[in-house]
Amino acid sequence: MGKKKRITIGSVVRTIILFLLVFLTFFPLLLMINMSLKQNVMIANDFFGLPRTIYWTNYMKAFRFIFRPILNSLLVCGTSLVGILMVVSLSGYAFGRMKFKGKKVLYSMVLAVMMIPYALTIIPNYGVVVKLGLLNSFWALIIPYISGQQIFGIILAEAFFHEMPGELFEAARIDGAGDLQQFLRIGLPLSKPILITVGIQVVVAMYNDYMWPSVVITGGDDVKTFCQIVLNNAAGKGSSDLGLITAAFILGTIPLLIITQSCLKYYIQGMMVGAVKG
Amino acid sequence: MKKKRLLAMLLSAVLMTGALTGCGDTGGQTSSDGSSKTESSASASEAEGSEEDAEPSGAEAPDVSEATDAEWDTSKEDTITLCVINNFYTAGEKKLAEEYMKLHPETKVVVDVIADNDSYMTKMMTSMEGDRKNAPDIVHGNFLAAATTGNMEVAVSKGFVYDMTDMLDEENPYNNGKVRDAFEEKDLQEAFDGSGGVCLGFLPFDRIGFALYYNKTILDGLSLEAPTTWEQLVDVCGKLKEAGYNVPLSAGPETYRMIATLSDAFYRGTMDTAAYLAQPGDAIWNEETMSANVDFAYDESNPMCDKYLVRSTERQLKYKTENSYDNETNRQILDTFYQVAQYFPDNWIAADSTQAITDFESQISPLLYQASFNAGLILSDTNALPDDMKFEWATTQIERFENPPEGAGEQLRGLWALGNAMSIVGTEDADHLARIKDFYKFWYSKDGAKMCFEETLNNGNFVQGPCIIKGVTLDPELEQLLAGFETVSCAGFEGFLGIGETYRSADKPLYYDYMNKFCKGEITSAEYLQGVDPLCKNYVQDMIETGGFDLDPTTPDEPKE
Amino acid sequence: MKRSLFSRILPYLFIAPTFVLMAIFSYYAIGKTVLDSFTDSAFGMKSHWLGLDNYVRAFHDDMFVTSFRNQLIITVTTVFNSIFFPLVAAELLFFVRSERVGKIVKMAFVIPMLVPGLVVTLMWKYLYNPNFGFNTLLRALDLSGLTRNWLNDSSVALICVILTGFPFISGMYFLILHNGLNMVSGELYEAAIIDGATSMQVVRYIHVPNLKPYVKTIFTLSLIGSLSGFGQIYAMTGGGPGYATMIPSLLMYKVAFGDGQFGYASALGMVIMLVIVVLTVVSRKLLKTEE
Repeated sequence: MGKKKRITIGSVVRTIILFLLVFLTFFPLLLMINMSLKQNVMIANDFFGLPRTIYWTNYMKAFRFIFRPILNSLLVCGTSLVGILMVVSLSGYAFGRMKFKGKKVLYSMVLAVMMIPYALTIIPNYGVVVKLGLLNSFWALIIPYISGQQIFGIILAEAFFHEMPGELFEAARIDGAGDLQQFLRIGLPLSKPILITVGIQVVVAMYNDYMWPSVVITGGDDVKTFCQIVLNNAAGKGSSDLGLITAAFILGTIPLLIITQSCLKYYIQGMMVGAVKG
Repeated sequence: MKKKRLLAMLLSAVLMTGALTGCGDTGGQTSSDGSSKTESSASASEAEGSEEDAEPSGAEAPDVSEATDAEWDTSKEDTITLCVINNFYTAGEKKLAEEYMKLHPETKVVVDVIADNDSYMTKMMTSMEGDRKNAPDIVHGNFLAAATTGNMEVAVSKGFVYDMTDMLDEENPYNNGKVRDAFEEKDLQEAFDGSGGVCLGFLPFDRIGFALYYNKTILDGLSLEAPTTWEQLVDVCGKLKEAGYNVPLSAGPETYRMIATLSDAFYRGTMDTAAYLAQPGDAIWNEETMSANVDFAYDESNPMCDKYLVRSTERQLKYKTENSYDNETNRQILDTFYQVAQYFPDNWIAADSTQAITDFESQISPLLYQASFNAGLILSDTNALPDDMKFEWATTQIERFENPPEGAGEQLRGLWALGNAMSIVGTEDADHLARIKDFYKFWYSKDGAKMCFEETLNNGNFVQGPCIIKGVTLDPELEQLLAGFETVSCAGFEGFLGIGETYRSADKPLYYDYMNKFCKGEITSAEYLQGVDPLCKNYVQDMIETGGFDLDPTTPDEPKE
Repeated sequence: MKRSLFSRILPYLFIAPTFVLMAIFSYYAIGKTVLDSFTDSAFGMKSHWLGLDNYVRAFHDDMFVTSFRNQLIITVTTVFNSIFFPLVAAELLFFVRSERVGKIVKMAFVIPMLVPGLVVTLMWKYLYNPNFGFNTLLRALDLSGLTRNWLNDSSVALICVILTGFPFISGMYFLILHNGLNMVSGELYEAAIIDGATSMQVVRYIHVPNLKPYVKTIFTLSLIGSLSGFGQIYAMTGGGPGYATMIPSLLMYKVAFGDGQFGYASALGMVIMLVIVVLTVVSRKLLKTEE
């Protein structure tokens, strides 16, 4: 870009603050790793200290009971994600760029759903799931997840689509493309960054959800989701084995990490496209 | 770029179809709309998850296997679900399920584990609503009782819990005898009393005890003896504090048992028995089971004299409605408690019980008043400590007052109560019920219970206490450790002080606030009692309403619909 | 140009899936809640019509009313934290010269987001433990006088809860702002550099005006999230000590699933929802007029 490289006091201060923030943000994670390598009793007795002997048993135990549940969770999250992204892009585009009667009212109806306290929806939704005959199946998780997580995605997508410069669509409109075409050819491809942002957030939220799966999944360990299993096996009355929990969560986060890694690369590409076009 | 998304979608579609067809109980049956709130459904409800209709069969399956006349149709498959909280013998129960299924392949046993008490309560509330077609089959009965405002008898009468009184006389094919033969009579009596004295909501399984754990290394270093009397305990706490231990005695929510012990010492000899014991002429009076109640008077020289008493919920509610919680005796009890409570950590009443244990293990607190269910945990934890952090520890019981305060008995009775109350959820389907009962019998037999205990221990979890079922013995080291908890159990008088499960969940934070202020010395015992009085009365009101009590013990009561 | 029938109903087709799902899983629930709030629906019992009794009771419930005070403090700080810190981080990241360093920093901010909130909460709970964690650090720095039993001391419990998760960067608010900064037209930026604008000026005159819609979105989301969520507080203190950290939605949860009083809990929920709606509408109006 041909800028002069100036190392001012300002930029030094900026860099220091930035790295400080990075460290503070990462600190709990470092703690977690430290804890996962210790036996539970040692965590209490010597919290900040490095493990005296690396206690791999936490990871071994965790791996054994986590394997199937992680697959379950990935399946549920993956399927839900596809559904969510479809719904979010459609509705986000509609609210952000299309004109139709009652748009404001309908949008506030969407917003209103977010304001319903979660605890109040548990029992009615359980009833719905039972009536639909979906109890103890993964659909009991997937469909309510799509319904619940879409709201937040729609809000983001609406803002994003709204902000898109009109010129992008002008060319297509002049060429005679209708709304549908404009959406498919221009809106959708350009919305990748925001969809990925939404995607990451909702997958993390679903992957780490505990309450709803405990209510609707009534089977044994092999059909439970990741979060359920970890808390089941390590938490509980009178014995919270924090070493085991952290080891389990670290193992469980690895799939998420892999997915996010590849998505973020994709994300950067998408943004470059947007920036150049702008 | 569209390709990648397409690929992702295809991949999920493939995974989806592959996996979903295999797992999960996508029964595909639309449940009939029996969503009325009345609990007893007229027709046979469909058994949970069954692939075919499980109809009550008249004819019995041919008697070929060791398990005698099966009362269910062995040609049809069915599933029973056991819903438990983590760490309550969950490993053992999973093993039991496995072994049982080998004996009876036509019944699938699923163990649904929930992580903690609050999530469990949520699960109970959601799955027991409506017609309970999808409810679990064996659950923690005390939670169901709590959901019906603390009345186990109401839970039974509404059909939530199956009354096991008759089951006691049934044959237990896994124990060579009747179901009741696996237990000592006194234990059954206690379970009976724990269900309101009118029904049997659960069978006893194990016992829980309390003791004072102490750090021998620290106490020896200060030339202190392990306390065995109340006064010694107060003294040791004071000395430890002087020596620089900020929190001499670590306590958690369960430590309220100390108040229970104290209230027992004050009330057992002084409270009018008509206020809490069932009396002849009462609607629930039963000559056979309640004969010990007649003209009862506590005998200080015989701490077991009140073993067979049966309490009347209605009478206790009547007393609580008519009297204020703020009275002389209650104030005395609390003031005595304060002598030790001032050494407790902040907010002990609402803290994590694990916090208290870690305090003890990290030697911040040399004393710990805790239950037997943590003995095993503390044992293995301290064994795992590196040498420079190891310390010696043991348990002791605070057995008596040296100089009992005015009105109190000398002996301090601890806790040696029944734990793990598993109940069967009521169902109209006789076939399904028969299978549940059979599994339950399998579990509550000598071999079944032993398997449960051992598997739990092998899995690194800990048992709550010794097993009640006759003939089950554990590893000698553990038996010895648990023996240190055996004591005489106090009777439950703490409810008269507003201690324990006597509050609405919404009121509990206020109660905790009062207790914290009291233990810090910021309010007097009188102020505490005046503060909690309206809260306790709220809960009493709720219990009366739910149970439909008319506060006249001589007339029968119908629980509210 | 007359719009064809198809193009007129297209928008409705687009939003149809959303509304169908919401109708089943959200509107039904809220409808039931509204109905229940006028009854004495409770676990295991038939419900009877009570009219406005539950609402009257809610307004006389001291703990419920005072919990709103806690809620106010928590929400104001949460919203501020959700905007301020991610913004600072996104800005700092923007000005990083080297692309590789930039990528690493971005990764570093995003990865902690993958860890479940519950685990982070537990981590902080341990840091607040009176026997180790922060107190250990304070003692090592010879500041023992400042040590406290953090979460169990009613005077500081609330502050501790608010500070959990410092520096509040990890999460999608950061990604949104980062996104937004990069969306700002490259030309505008180039022109400013040529004119010799300093970084601060770039921030003030280019970034801030263009980020308004994103900030507005984050504001709304964090506001609503803070008002209706209770998971974090529940895991950290359960509303304690006493009720020093009690918030309305947690109280409602206790009433619903602790006591099984669905009718009363529904009324509480309706009141909470009303407050959320009012606050959201008012704040959005205020933000609009600023533009």
